[in-house]
Amino acid sequence: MKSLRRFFTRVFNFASRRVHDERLREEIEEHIALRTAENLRAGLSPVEARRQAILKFGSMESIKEEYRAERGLPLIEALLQDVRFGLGLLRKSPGFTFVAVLTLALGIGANTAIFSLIDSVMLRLLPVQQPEQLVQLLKFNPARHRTDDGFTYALWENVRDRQDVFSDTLAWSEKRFDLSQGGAVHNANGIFASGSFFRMLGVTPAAGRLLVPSDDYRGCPPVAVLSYGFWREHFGGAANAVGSMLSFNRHVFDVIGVSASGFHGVEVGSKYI
Amino acid sequence: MKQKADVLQGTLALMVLKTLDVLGPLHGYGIARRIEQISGDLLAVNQGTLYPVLLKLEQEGVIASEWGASENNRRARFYRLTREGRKQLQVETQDWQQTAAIIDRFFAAKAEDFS
Repeated sequence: MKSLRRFFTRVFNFASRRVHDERLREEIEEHIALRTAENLRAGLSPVEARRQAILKFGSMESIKEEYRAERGLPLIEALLQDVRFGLGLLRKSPGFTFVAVLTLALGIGANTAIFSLIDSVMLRLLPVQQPEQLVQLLKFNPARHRTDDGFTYALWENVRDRQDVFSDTLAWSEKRFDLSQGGAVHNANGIFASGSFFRMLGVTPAAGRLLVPSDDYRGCPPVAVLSYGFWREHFGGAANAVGSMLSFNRHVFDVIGVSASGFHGVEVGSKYI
Repeated sequence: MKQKADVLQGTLALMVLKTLDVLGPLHGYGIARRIEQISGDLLAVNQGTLYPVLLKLEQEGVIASEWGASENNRRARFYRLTREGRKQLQVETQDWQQTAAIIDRFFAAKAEDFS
């Protein structure tokens, strides 16, 4: 209770910046004057009387310091003083301030950029339905003690038709396609996908329809699904994009639909057309 | 010397309270003088240490202060005990006497008392 009251008095003194220094100074003066008078009565010379009085009082500065510490909130007062001092110094050397602020800004900026990259590549799940249930199968090559790239189509067919572990399977292959029909090469990233691709990932169409398993058989006609971004960029989001033809590596594909915005394929971070 | 400084704060506060209790309102120098007379060397040096203690006691509300005129007709700050201060003095006096009595008994004890 008492310490609470003392604390509030301190806060009040701190907030109001009440000047107690004057009071202390006056009290010290009075103290020394009275002591000097007494020393004079004891028969000391005026100079010696005052000197003895001051000596006996002790270190003036340390007492003032103690008094101030007792009065307010020394920690916060010291902190404010430091901040004010620091700001003063910064104002005095604008060049240094500029460099320091720039360094901090760049540092923070770089960190933010790297974090958002890591966040999307490593921390976030794929933007599809139930991404936590997806499993990627890899082929292990014991001779080289590492996983090989990809499955052959025959192997994929076997996995697709014979497995009874998963509720669904899909296969995909990332590929760079040349969109031009001759002349300058115009590359775009794409994915060869199995018919079950969109069904399994739960992706919905933004226009037209998506690949379904019945599209996927040996010798089937080539069809393509555009990504939402590609559709906006190359067709301006026009509805007649569905049904048009696109040339990929000199092969003509029917465009059957557009996938929903926000879907960018199964390799996190990369895009398909 | 170091030890004395540690003890100082607590005992000094108690001495201030007792002095004000016995002598009534006093200014800082009067309190210092009185403590010096009775305790001998506790305040022989560094009489100034009294003032932070006075401020602390005042903030705790056990003493109050106001300006008045000293013997030589100068402005001086006079301190007096508050009601709360009187209560605290009673409690602390009891505590102190109890502690002192226990320590006394220990000092008085001889080897055979422990067997």
